[in-house]
Amino acid sequence: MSKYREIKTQFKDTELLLAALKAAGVTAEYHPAGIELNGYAGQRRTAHVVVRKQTLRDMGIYSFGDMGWRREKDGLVHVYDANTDLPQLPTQAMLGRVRQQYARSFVQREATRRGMRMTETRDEQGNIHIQLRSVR
Amino acid sequence: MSEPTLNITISPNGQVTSEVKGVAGPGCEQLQQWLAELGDVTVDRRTPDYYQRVEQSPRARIGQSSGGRR
Repeated sequence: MSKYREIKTQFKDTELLLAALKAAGVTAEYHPAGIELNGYAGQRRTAHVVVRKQTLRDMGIYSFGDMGWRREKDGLVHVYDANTDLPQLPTQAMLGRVRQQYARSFVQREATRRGMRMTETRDEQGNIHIQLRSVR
Repeated sequence: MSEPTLNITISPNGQVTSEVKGVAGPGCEQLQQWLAELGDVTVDRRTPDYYQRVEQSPRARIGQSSGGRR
């Protein structure tokens, strides 16, 4: 081993995020032009990727409004009700699942682009282990 | 050294760790550089293998004696 790194996954790519939400079992909508989310106390915020309030509630997340991500120049901005959404454990669990799927899809895409052979396993703790080797 | 391998682990909350095996010296940088585009690099550590000299062909040394100054 010569280099060790730790990386905190950030959502930057809309396509990858949509695929990750689906793989994580989260129903989401995509609105290329952006829509206004329903928020707490009449707040209005814009998002391009939307998870509806009812979907959140079905996952055990008590939310007053929709959650989403807004596409900006540098990537995706998470749009949520800070008072109710993020602190909840089900929310953190859901976002964790989505981040894991996002990272996996990112690695798979880049491995294909770079002509690398990918093997994958999953352990009992839910970690995904990937090995990449050059094909050439 | 064995075949160069990039090992990646993704935890259930999306935290990613990566390590390169089978590469001596700084050549490992290129193998995993692209992974930094995934997010914020919070740990970036060189291991002892990083400082191993990459084997080079021996150079002929001319005019050197085995010891002591002249």
